[in-house]
Amino acid sequence: MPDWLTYVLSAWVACEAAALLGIRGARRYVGVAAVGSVLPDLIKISYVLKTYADVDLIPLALPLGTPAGAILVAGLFSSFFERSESRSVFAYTALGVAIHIGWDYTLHPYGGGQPLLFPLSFEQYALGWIWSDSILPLIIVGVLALILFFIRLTNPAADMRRTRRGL
Amino acid sequence: MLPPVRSFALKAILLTSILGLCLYSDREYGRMHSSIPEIKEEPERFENVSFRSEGTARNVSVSAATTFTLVVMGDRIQAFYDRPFKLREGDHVIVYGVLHMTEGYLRVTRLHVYKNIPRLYALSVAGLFVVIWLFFRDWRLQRLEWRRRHA
Repeated sequence: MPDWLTYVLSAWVACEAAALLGIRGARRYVGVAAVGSVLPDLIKISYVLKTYADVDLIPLALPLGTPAGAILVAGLFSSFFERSESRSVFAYTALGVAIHIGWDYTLHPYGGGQPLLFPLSFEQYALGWIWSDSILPLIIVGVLALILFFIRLTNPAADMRRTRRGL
Repeated sequence: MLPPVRSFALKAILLTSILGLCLYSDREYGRMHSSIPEIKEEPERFENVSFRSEGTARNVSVSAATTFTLVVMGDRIQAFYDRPFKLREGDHVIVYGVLHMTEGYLRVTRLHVYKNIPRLYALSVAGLFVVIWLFFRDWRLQRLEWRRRHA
């Protein structure tokens, strides 16, 4: 996995880009998108338990790191929000989950890759472009964040010109 | 808007679905993936089987070949690489190889050392603080429901 700062910054970039493209309220959900972007790493709790307590819950926790499982967790997470917000919260949390899984898919497979088709298949997939400890993902997303931040600074009303319906 | 009963039903359905997936995974995962203790229990079954894992290198010895103990979340397996490799005690490695468990070792065919694990953890801790700040900046918990701070 890349570091959590990469995931969180990617979630911010996605929401900021959505706001600039005119999707109403995108910036208001940066917090939940950020939570979504680290949600699939709930599976790492099982790694910690295995390493330090010799309790092997990895097979049980595996779905939490898969697209299907993480989307269900995002749904459960969003069901604890006020009713008028739960749909948007779910959409942005799911966006965060997609960002996380997208980044993990580009890596050399830590743990064998992403079981993208779970529960239909346990087959693991990975592109193997980047090593987990590489700074490259953070540089890529950092540059994008700087560009968007600069656009926002120089043109604060950019996202106000066209307002589309929110997610 | 969801009425309370539907909201409760939705939570129950989602929770049941997640638990269902977890139980299904727990039952089926072991058929496709084997842990190091399982491999050691049945060495004949894992002869000439390909293996890939990440862990810490211990008891490193480098001469004409490189030997080390790969420690994966507390489980240990002896590894042998048929060439000298710049490996240090405690290095975090990803290992690809073939199991020769009747002789009790893993023959490494490819090895990569993660050099920046401390930086990965440090940036992740920073990311955790940013997540907490971004979330609690906008939301507060009131009667078991997250609500906007500035609605």
